[in-house]
Parts: sequence; C-alpha cells; structure tokens
Amino acid sequence: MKILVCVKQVPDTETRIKIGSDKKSIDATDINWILNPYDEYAVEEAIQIKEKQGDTIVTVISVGPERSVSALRTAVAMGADEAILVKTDDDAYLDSLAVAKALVSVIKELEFDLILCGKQAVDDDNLQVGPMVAELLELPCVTFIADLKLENGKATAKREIEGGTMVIETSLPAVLTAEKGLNEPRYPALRGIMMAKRKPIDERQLQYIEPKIDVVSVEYPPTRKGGKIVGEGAEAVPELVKLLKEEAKVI
Amino acid sequence: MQASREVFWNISYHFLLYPLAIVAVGLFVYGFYRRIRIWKLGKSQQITGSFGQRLKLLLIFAFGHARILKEKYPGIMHALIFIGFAILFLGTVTVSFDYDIWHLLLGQSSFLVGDFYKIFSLILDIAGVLAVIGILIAMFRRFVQRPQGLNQSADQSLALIWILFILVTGFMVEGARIAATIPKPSWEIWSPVGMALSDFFPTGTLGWYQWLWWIHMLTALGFIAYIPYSSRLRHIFTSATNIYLRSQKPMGELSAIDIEHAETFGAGKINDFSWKQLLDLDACTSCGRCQDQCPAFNSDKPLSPKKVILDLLDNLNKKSSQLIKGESLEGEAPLVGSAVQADEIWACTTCAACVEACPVFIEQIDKIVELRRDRVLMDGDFPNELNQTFKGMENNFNPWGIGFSSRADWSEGLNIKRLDQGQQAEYLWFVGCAGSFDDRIKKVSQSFTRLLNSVGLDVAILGAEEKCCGETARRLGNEYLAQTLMEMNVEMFNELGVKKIITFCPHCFNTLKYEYPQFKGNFEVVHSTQLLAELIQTGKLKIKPNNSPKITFHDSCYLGRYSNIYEQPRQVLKAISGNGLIELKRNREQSFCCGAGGGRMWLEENLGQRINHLRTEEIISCQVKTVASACPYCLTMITDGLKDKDAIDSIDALDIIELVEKNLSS
Repeated sequence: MKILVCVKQVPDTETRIKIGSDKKSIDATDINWILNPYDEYAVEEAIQIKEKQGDTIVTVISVGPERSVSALRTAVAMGADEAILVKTDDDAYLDSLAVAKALVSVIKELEFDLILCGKQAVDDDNLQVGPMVAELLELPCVTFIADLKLENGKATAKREIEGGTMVIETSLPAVLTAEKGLNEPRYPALRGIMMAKRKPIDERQLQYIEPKIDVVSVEYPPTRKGGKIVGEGAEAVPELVKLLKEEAKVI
Repeated sequence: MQASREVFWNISYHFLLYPLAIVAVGLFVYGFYRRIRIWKLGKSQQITGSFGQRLKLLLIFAFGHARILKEKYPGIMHALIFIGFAILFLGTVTVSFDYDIWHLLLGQSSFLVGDFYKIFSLILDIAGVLAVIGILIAMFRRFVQRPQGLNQSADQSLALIWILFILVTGFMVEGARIAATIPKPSWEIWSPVGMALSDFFPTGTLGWYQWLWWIHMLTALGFIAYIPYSSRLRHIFTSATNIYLRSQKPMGELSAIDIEHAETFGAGKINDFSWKQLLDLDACTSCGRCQDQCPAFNSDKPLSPKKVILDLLDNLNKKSSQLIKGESLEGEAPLVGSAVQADEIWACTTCAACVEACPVFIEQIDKIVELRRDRVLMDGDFPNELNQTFKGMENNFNPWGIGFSSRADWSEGLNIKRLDQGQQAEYLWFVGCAGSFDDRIKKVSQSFTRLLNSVGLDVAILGAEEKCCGETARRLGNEYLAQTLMEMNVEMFNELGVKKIITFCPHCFNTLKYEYPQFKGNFEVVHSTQLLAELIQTGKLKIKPNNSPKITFHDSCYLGRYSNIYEQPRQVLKAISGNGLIELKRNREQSFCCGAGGGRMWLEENLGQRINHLRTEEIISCQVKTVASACPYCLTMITDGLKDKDAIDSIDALDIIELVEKNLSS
C-alpha cells in the first residue's frame, strides 16, 4: 500500500507572534518551526497502518520554503519512508488552492492508495488544502477523522460532530483529514532521528502558481483589560451584581 | 620444655594436604578467572585516579569499614567476622610460612615458639571467638529477625553455616589435640578456648583429634575453592575490587554518549553496560541498605535499587555463556520489559540515597539511566506524559513548553541586566526553567533580583536566550535532547565570555558545574546558598535580630548528596533563626527526596504513596512555622504536600532566598 501524508511546517504554538513590517504577514525571525500538530496525527496514523499491515510505503510531502525540510525529517524520524519537498521562495505567499495544486502536481505522477492530511494548519487555520486536493484529484474526502479502519480496500472513518459521532465508509483512494484524538503521535527515537538525517529528501522547485486571494492585513487581538476588585465579603455583592448587569452586561 | 605446637602432629598422610591445597587454590583462581571473563563482556571504560588514591579507598572503606559501620548493628556484625577472619587468615599464613618456608625450605628452626607462640595462640583464639560471635549475630539476623532488606537464599545461608562450621571445628581440633597430649601442657592456657573444650574430649587418645583435623582442613580448603562460585562469598573479593575501583568522577556527572558514532544508545542488552558497571553488579552483597533508603521503595513503588542490580546480575549470569561463545544477543528482548520492568526504572528520582548508602560503591543510578536511555533513544518508549515535556524542551527550551520568548517576563519592572541585550556583567545568573516559568518560583527569582541589587553584585541574566540546562532530559534518558540543550548553552556562554555563573536551582547547578565540562563548558558555578552564606558572613547582607522562629530545612538531593553543600544553607538559616533551626529526622546525607528529581517532576505519580506526602508529614511533625528549601523542585513538591495535608496555612514553605529577604535589617 502507498500512503501519502501532506504536512506543513508551522510556528510552534507557543510562539509570541510578531506581525511583519508589511502588516500582512508574520515576522519569521525568532520563530521555532515545528511539524503542524494535526499533521502529526496524520503521520502517526500512516505509520501505524504500515506497522499493522506491513508492505506499505509512507511518503510525506510538504510545500514550503527550505526550512520545511526539518518538518519532513521529523516525519521521517517518526517512521515515514520517503520525503518530498516542493520548494517555494522564503517569502512567497501561497493561498490554499495554490498549495493544493502544487501537491497535486506531484501526486498525479506517483499515485497513492490513501492520502492523509491534518485537518488544518495551526498557523493560518484555513482547513482547505485537504478537501481541495481531493477535489482536484476527484477523490472522495472525509474530514475531521478521529478513528480509521482499513478493510477490503475500503476505509471506515469516525468523525466527531457536534453532539455525536458519524461513521463514514469510503472507497480508496481517498483523502482523509486528521482530527485530534485519532492517535497519540510518537516521539521520534534517536535511532529514527539518526536515520532521518541520512535520508535524502526529494526536493523539487515549485512551478509558480498565481494566488487567487490576497491577505489584506493581519492584526493582534485586542489586549485584555485588567480586572477590577469591587470590594470584599458580602457587602461587595450588590455592587458586583450591578456592574455585571450594567457594565459587563453578562447577567 | 618450650611452648610450641608441632605442625601435622600425629597426622598420617598429612602430605596429602599439599596437593589438596593446590586443587583448592586452582579452583579458586579458575572461578575468579571466569568472573573476570564475564565482566570483560562489558564495553570498555577508562579508570582514572592513582594507585595511591585507590589504595586509600581500599584501606578506609574495605579494611576500615568506614561505610559499613554507618549502620551500627550490621556494621559491627560484619566487622567482627571480617577482623576475626582476617586475623585467622594471617595466622594460618604465618604458620605455613614458619613451617614450610622458614623451617622446611630454609632449614631454620621454628620461630613460633615460647612467648611469641603463646601470644600468637591467644590472638588467634580471640579472633576465632570474634568471628564466631559475628557469625552468630549474622545468623540471628538472617534466620530470626529476617530484615526486609535481606535476600533469603540457600547460598546465603550455606555461607554462614559453612564459616561457622570451619570456626567451630577449628576450636574442636585444638581442644581434642590438647586433650590428647599427656600431660596437658601448662602453656595451653594461652589457647583458652581449646583448653576449655579439651575437657569434653577423652584424654590421651588421638581418634577424635585426627578425624576433626581432616574435617577442619577439608572444609577449609573446600571453602576456599567455593568462594568464587558463591554469589555470597564472592563479595569478599568483588566488593573489595569495586571499592578499589570506585568512580572518581562527581556523583552527579552522567557519562556522555558519543551520539555520532555510537551504534546503540543506552543499555538494551546486558553487554551494553561497561565492564565496570558489570563489576558493580557482581559486587552487590544484597545487604539491602539502598532499598531501605530509597524513596520509591519506601512509598510502595515497584522500584528497589537492590532488586534492579540483582536482576541485572541474574541476566548477566544467564547470558554470559552465550556471550562468551561469541553469540550476539541481537533480536532478544531489551532488558527493560524482561530483566527489569518499566515501572521500576521510571520510578527513580535519582536522589542518590542508594548510592550514598552502598557500602561498596555500586552506582545504581547510572544503570537506571542507561536503561532509560535505551528505551527513549532506541524505541521512543516512555511514559506518555513525557511526550509533552520533551517537546516543550525541544521547541521552547523548557519542560513546561511555554513560549521561549516569554522566558524573562518574570523580571518585568525589576532592575536586572540582560546579556541578551548587549549588557555585560561579572556573573551570569542562570535563572533556570522553574525560576522563569513556574508562578511560585518566579517569586523566588524576583526576590533574588532584589537581594542581588541590594548588595550591588554585578550580575546579568540571559533573558529569552537562556535555554533549559538539559538536566531533566538527561536524567530521563533523552541524551540527545540533553546534549542539544547543553551544547546550545555552552556555545552561547562562551560567545558571551561567561566565566562565573550563579544559580539557585541545584539541578542546574549540578549540570552546569559537573556536566558542562564534557561539552567544553568550564565555568565557576556558585549556588545561591553559597553566595548568601558568604554575603552574610562578610556583613554585606545584614539580618535583623529576632527571637528564634522555628524553622526546618529540607536538604535537596542535588545540593546535598550530589554537591556536598550542607553547611552554607544552615549558616544562613542560623543567622536568621539562631537556635530555632530544627533538623528533620532525615537530614544531610540521609535526607529524604521530595519526589521530583530524575524527571519525576514531569511524570504522574500513580503507584504507591506520594513521596512528597511522606516528606511533608516529617516536616509537619517538627511543629515548625517555616520550612526552608533551596531547590525549586523541592519547594514545589513541599508546597503541594502541605496543601494536600491541609497544613499550608500553618507552615510557610519558602526558598532560603525569600527568607533572607524577609529578614533583612533595613
């Protein structure tokens, strides 16, 4: 079986984001880049399938600048077999469709039985690439999967939906996007890291794809105002209730 | 007639003793040759230190019993057996020299005559009595009292019975010989035990004497031959060798793995240990002192350091013939999961109470760390919760995983220089992750900043450029992550020209001081308690007089046992509290861990009792107003313990730094 996992390198979730001078992008200095956490679930799932059924090749692919190699190496250290980087310029802005097209250009050549993605990248939160890849390849797509079983050339996935669970069966090949809880991604062992270091990465240059959307601006969320101490003990209650009603308008 | 004893008196075929002795010694030598061959299955390891230093160790700790006597009852018991046996051995050698070499070979007349013989006899009789007393105590302890720490096995029991048998038959031979001599020589009063026993044997007949003589000789020779094959008796030599070869490096320095060149990491198979580590296993006398001190064992967790050592030894013995034949252990299950269980190795707090207690200098912690290394580095197999801890250290350089750029946020509004902003200072204050990210410990950082400012010490922090020191990752077996962090810090320190470092975290202290030199990081490292003691002594910090508020001090393992800093924190506390300083029941070298070391801070504690509860109960029983600590982990664990025990309102848990600041005379 051939499984492809599409991954993205994103800033660490704890990063204190600074807005770049163009007010449209983030300042890339002083950022620790990591493998997108949702993509980790996808990589882990692919490796678990490989461990379970054997005779499987797991390929990871990323569209991004040179630094994305480290995210690919993390995936290889976890257990992926091959890695492809579709290299972009450092400051190139790609919208989701451009990324999906770039991915598809490679996927078309290679053919896969299963394509896994994280449900979203935690940096720009578009949740679009997975479904777009499916659309461009005319493949079925199941998003937000929290459980996956492969049997007789079919995939059965569970989706967590508001107030319940939905079970979906799909033929393969298909594109599935991973939700938190799908599995517990492994921490790569040093043995894997050392092997990943030696593994060549198939680097290709991105053919320029015109983005169809443009980011106009990015802004910080409003800073939170400090709290207020109304008083102490039972005497303060009427004042508190009054303020909650009139000022905060929550009761 | 002159006092003396004729060797081989009335023993026919006594010349048979010589070939028998050669056989016994041959078996003895062969037995140890086999043990040495087993140790050599381990990886190479350099031994440092001079012959003189090592001889001193042997004299103090083996012959001198310095550590064995730390526990009085078994210590004295052992000393009696040891002294008794040593003298008897020397006596036998003297007799043999006198007869075989001096008399037979050199043709001189015996020197074991007259007054010298009398005193010689007396000393040997006394030695025999001491050994018998020691053995009887040992038997009482083993068979009647049966302390939890002792392993009961046939080999252990046989050793005691055998020794007692040799001693008793020796005295009986003497008694029967005296009885057989007519008339009883008057000088035999110098062999008081033999003289007393002679009344129980028929006078003037040789039968008893001759039988007993052969029985005594054969069991004694058999004993010599048996020593290397008995795990119990072997210790006479393996433990002494281990004492002689005691590690010369600081207790807190773990060995570095050469990551680029090593083929395997840690100990997955028994021969992944070094030869010295294998000797360590063989040196174990299973006395149980490590287990008695172990906080994990004492809180009903599956770990006993003794059991780990003996289980590894068992594995070594089982695998040795395969390995000696040159067969590889590839494909066999790793040690963790077969010889030792995962719950055991992850329960260790690396508090070193076991290392401190071991009378023969076995290093239990380095074995446990090697086993952790194998699990983490080879298979990424470790408790789930560490996933976040490791990732936090990897991506944000702190185990909390909080954004690294907020590392110095605690210092907002305070006056402290920043090396990361181009300022310079004599000292780098390495704040550490706890001091930077833990809300409670940040207050200690703020307090320390104010204290440092008040004495005008030229000190700066690294701000957001500081990275976790690597201590926790290293003890959790993640050597790769640890080395990455250590190398990043060393590179930056060297770039910034750092020479002197202050830290209030004993874990950072240990790693910066003892482990950074492995990565070309040679700095003078000072702990806050050392600095405070000096500042108070030189009068730069003035403490206001008070009426001895009751304070107790909890020794941090890494400050105390690891770095031998016991006095400075007490000097500071005495300056504050005078006679109000009350020692905890377990203090200094015997201090009981808070439960957070060895990366346990980041692991769930869901087996047995909570270690910090045991320690907190000890603190509460002291009826103090304040418990002082000098370690962020300890402070966290004790604070949590006091909360759980509903004592947080009656006892303040403070770092010594905060106590000093509170008691400054303005």
